[in-house]
Amino acid sequence: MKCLRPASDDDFERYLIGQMTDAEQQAFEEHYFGCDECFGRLEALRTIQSAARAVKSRKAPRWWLQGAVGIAAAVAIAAGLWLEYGRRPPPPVRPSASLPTQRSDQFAELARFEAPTWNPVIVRGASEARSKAVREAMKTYHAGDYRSAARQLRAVHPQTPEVEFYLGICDIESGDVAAGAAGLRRVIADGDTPWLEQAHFYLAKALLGSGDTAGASDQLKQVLAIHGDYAGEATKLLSALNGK
Amino acid sequence: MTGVPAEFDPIAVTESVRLGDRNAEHSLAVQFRPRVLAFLAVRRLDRDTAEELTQDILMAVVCAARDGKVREPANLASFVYGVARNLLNDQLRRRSREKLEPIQPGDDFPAPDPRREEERVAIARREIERLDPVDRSILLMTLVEGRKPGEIAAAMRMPSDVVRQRKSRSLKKITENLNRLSQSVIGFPLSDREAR
Repeated sequence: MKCLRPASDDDFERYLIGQMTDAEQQAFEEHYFGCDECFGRLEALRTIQSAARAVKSRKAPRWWLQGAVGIAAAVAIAAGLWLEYGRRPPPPVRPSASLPTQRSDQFAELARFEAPTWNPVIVRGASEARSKAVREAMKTYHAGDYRSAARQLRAVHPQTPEVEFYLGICDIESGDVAAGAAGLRRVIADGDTPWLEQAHFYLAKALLGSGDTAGASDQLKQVLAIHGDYAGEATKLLSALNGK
Repeated sequence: MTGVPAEFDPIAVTESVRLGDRNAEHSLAVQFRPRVLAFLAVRRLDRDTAEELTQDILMAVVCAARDGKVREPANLASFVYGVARNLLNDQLRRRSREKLEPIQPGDDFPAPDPRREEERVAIARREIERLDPVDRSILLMTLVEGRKPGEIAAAMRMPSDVVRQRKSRSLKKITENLNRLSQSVIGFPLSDREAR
């Protein structure tokens, strides 16, 4: 039977996350006890909530786990360097934007990437002008004119992690790897945003391109620690790096 | 008996239970068991306590119906809900009085058929993982962290209405795929086979 007074989506969410008052909760429960349609919606959302918890617990490693991964990465990199260079003096430290060397040439293929696509966000009201500016910049970005896109993105205010991320990509694609890497590091410094994993991944690519394999490995291990969409590619890259 | 009626008739079921019809008792339990479980799940009871309490609640309702104590059969759902609330409160009071271990928040509560629910959660999980990273973050902040759209908007530095839009769009998409892929439109009551 069709529900004559269906609850709003907001009500279902507030109920499941415990944000209703006692009176609201009682009325809501009494309703779904007698309403097949609303109870069906509730059960669907409960299933999604369970799945979301599972995803969240997998995607959000504890700080100590992240620390452990960092330490493990440092140990692995140190061990690798020791094996490679033995007791010889360490190689000179190269700035990230240094000219490619013979060694970094070996990683040029691994460093190659396709610029990630951008999904438009529809914004209304006061932010419309900003939204339009972002859309225009990303149109340029998708056309492959990264230098112009970077210029357009720099003019956008405020500089959200999203804008900083794509600006970083534009800089790297334009050849200004140091500026791109710095931008991606700012995104990483912003913490747990939706661009965190991608920022680590593309920073790794940037570092690979400039021959900083240790830095790239470190970033790829951060990607693995997040257990997200880029884990597969990060694993492949790390294997390739270890095999070189 | 192959399944519950397409539409649950509380008046007919209550009367049949009063007259001693065991099939009607079964229909009543099938209709309300998932609802009682959902009601207890929101309180984050541990599994054993919730299962036990669900049995007590359904048994109390059936006994009342047998004895003709359901005064308004048309409002059977409200009656069941009232019994559920009372027995839960009794349980909480008893634990407090007897200084038993307080009821602890448990894991996600099992649905009537754990296998079916596991399958549905796996589908939902896959769908969540396929979402755009921004949409996924919004969904997790809402359903797991319990954050409001305004808070999410501030954290993500985007307008609240965009957060709402993206969240609604994600939920709609996941629910549609959940229904389609689990090959069972979410419609309760469950069939007898599912409820067993």
